Amino acid sequence: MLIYIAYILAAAAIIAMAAALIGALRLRRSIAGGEVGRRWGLLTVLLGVSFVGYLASPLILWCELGPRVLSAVTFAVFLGGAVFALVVVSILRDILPFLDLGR
Amino acid sequence: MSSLQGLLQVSGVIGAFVCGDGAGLVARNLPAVFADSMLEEADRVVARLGRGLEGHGGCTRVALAFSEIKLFVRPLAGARLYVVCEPRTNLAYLELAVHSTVQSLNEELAARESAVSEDAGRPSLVETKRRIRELVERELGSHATRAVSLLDQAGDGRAEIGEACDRVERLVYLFISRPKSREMAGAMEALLMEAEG
Repeated sequence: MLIYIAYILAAAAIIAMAAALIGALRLRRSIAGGEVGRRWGLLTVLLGVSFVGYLASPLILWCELGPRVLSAVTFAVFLGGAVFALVVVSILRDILPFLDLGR
Repeated sequence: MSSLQGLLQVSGVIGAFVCGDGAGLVARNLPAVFADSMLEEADRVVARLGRGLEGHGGCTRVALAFSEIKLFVRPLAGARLYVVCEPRTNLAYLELAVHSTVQSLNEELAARESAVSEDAGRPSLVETKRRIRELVERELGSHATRAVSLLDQAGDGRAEIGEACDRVERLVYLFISRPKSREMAGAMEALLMEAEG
């Protein structure tokens, strides 16, 4: 039963990541360039790499790879997520002063 | 001109600007949607209207009503004060506010004029700010809106203009490109140096 739940979660993650990737690519056209554009490019690459990893995630279950491989993949995803969060925070930090937030 | 800021306290007032005789736009405190050229054109029309009225006793104030705004005009020493407001604005109350501002505006104009004569040949900071604004519009084209509004929000002092230039440079670095930001920073710095002599 758990294995089916894992497949369903993997499918949901793939759909969500695909939506995020499409959103990032569309937003890329609205960013003229500059440092924000460069960092947004990095974010898009991270999303792309993650998407490929997510697509491959059901294979881990299918091929019944060992817990060590699963741990390595999990921590790689953690690392990717942390880098992603760092880039998002750095973009927000830089653009917030240029947004009129009434302060 | 800091006195213009006080007029914004009146309900319905969108902004104000001052045009000098033959000096064009001297000061402004208006949203960026009102282009300098548009304001100067309005001043030319009102100045012509004023000359036409001179033979009929002249006038000390004019209120022009348009479909979306009202333009209240009050003569100053060698200049004209324009207040742009919403049609529903209480003109009697606005006139009181303008009346209390006229004295300080005249003093600021006199101080500005004496500073200009002292620095003959050197552009004033207002003129420099306008040149920087033109530079930004020319260099950034359709991306200039935010940068221009940063300049418009800044005061007319050296430090305030310098700070606005730093922010414009940072904006260009973040959203356009690093070489462009350096190029513009150099050009803006040169304009500021020219004003300082």
